Amino acid sequence: MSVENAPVVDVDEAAIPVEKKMYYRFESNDKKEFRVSELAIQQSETLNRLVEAMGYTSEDVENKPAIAIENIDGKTLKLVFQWCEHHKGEAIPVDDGSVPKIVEIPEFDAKLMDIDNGLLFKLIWAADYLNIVQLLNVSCKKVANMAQGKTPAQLRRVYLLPSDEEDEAAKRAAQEAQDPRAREVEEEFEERKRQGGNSFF
Amino acid sequence: MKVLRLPYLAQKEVLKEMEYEELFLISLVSKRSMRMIQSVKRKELTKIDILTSEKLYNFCAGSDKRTIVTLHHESRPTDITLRKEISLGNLVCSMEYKEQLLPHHPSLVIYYRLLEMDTIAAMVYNQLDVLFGSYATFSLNVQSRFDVIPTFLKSSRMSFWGSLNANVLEDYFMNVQEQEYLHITIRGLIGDLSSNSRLYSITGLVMETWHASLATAVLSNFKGRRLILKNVSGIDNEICQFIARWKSCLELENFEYLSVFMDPPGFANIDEIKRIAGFKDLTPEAKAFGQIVRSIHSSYVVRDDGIVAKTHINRRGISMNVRQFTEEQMLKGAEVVKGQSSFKTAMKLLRFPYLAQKEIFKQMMYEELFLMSLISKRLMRTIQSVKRKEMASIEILTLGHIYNFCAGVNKRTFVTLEQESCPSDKALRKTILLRGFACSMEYKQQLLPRDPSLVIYSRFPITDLISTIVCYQLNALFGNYVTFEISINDRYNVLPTFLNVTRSTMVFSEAINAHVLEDYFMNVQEQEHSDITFNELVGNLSPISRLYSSKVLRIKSNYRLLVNNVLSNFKGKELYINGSPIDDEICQFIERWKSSQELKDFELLQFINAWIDFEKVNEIKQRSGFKDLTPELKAFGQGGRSNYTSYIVRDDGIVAKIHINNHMFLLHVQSFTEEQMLKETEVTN
Repeated sequence: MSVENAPVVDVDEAAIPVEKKMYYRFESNDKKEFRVSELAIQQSETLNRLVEAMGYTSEDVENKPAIAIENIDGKTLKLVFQWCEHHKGEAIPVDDGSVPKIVEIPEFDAKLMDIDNGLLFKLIWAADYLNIVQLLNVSCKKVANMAQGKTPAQLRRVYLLPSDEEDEAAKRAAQEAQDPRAREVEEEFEERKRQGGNSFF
Repeated sequence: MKVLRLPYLAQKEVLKEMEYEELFLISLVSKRSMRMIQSVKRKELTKIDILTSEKLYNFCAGSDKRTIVTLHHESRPTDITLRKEISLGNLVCSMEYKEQLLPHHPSLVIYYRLLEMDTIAAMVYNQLDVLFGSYATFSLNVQSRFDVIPTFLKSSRMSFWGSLNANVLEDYFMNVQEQEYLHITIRGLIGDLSSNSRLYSITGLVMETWHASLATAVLSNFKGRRLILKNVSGIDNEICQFIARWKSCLELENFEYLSVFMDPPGFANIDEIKRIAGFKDLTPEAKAFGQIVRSIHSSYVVRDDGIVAKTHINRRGISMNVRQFTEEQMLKGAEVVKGQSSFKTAMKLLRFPYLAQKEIFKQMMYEELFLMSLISKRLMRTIQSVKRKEMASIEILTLGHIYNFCAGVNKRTFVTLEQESCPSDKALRKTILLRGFACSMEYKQQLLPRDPSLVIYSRFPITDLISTIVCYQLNALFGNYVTFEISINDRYNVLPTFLNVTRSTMVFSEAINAHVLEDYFMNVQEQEHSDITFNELVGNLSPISRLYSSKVLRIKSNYRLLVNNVLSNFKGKELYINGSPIDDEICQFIERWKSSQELKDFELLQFINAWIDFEKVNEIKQRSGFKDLTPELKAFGQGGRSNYTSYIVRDDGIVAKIHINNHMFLLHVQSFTEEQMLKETEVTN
């Protein structure tokens, strides 16, 4: 099944499915609405528990407001639900510590994740938040693959990794932001050192 | 003991505790006993390996591949009085239990008469198959059977290290069903296989051959799906013809995969092969098209119906992988990918949720983690927190001044250290800093686990220093849960020392200076295992050398003086000596142990391939005060059967059981005193 044909539909554009399966309605933080099949929801532990706890009937699904997912935008949620619909009914992998962990990216997933890094970043956050184990596995594999053939300098650029000096500077800045007197104390300490003082106190 | 009268659960427990060879023998008694054993599923037994060579069969099972049944010819020189009669179907043969000191030693030996070897092997196989076949698989490994190859089971692996008559092979394939897989090693072939030999129809064939015309014949006649050829040479033309055969669509319609590993000097003219076979270059997008894992392919060829096979060729070999798409589909797909900007922005790795970060680091390769850890302390800590326990151990292989760091189940090389002068394309190297030392690095395409992946080049004087830095970094990353081993081959000046190494294996094919060894053991921690193969030692090791303190020490050497010194000074637990005649020193060693002053932790001494005269055996027995073991004493304290013949007593009463014959000496310290042993066996009597 291609990405374009995945049965995730925006409410304005698509007709109500003719099948008698239950389709839940979800709303992203930018007010985009999606209908997702009950089976597809099972891929997300978080959503599955949520709908179980709600105990909606078919009428409730239609009549009550869509379930709001506050911290995921419509573009990301669309990818998430496309993935869930494509993989619905598949067993959820259990990380049983069998090593080494081997993850292969299926063709559908590879095409789905052929997106810019910003959106991939959001997709991983969404997979983590919604607890979709296999989506997290394949998306992380894609990020891990970015390290292939890179030097440390290239890795720094690819993953935006700070050096020790940058980490130190960030830590100092964070401390200062927390305690505005810290900078003054540090300056005074430096000044005393310059003047030859042995001890600050 | 009426086992069949026991309650079912107890019967089951008894049978679960028995060794496989015992179950095998019990199953021969009656159909009822056979059914009873079948009902107790020994599911830990997943595989039974059958190995056969010219006059021998070994049936091995279990995770440690323990030999359960061995077939030997009845003329084998052993004590015939120990053999007992046994019926296998209509055949009467003899059997004997041997003491199994190591898993690959024989346990139950069945002696066959001339020409009955394969028949008895087939019977043993059938019996084991009936017993365990519903959950265990069988594999047959044939080694150097030049007369006839057994056909009672399809062989998955064959090795012929001499010249084999083509008829023998032909007969074998005529008499077995069509095979799905075979790994075959052939040194030389007398005569030719017919062009419609069923060898060529095997679905997956791995062939190691130095016989040029056989490799040629395989390439010309192969009809299966997957073919791997190793150690071949001079087949440039045949490769082109093979590809032409595939491209024509008239043959090889189910063909999937070809991999050829050439012997040096490799292919004569790669460009010519590329030209004749019609190789086309892959763009990065086309390379990634249809790939799930990282692709090594750099080019492709197109079949007449448009189907693509991705290929990679260099001097050392060629790989060709037939894909499910046409050239048109691939180029169109690659164009779409090219149009999309995949990685325009950076990926903020450290801003992912913890679980995602952990996943990413779990899926990276060891060399990538190593390079990442060089970036900052924070990254080092993050990687440390993701425990990659599947590594288990890191093996450092050194050959001259080349270092290979290997890890994982298949001991894959993940970092290689080479000298800067190593001949390779310097334009591909990129500069990196390792603790302030400027080096260069390059990623190589890793076709086999032992091939290099990440190569770090440094100038000659600092290569050893760089190896220390790499080892230090790896220890910081993985040292909490992996062990470090080193294997040093033919290095004679200064041996590389890494503090975290606990197992050392060394092979010196030429004379090595004693002080070089002395220095090595001074500079590493006390070794759990030391395994050294010497030819000659120049000078003497000091009696307090830390080599002697290795917990387990294995020495392979015919250099008598060294063996004597080891016997005089060893302080560890287990000592194995291979290949030196035993003399008075063995008596002195026993005296040293008996005195209770030294060798307090000592457990085991084994001499193998030693030669002792029968007269000498008696002299050693007399001088060292060997006492004979009665059958009761022999069995006392032994979990299984025992072949110890005598024992000696330490001054504090502790017993060591002994096995001695004219080519082996084994001394095994027990945890009980002579008094306890005698008292207990008296009670039993």
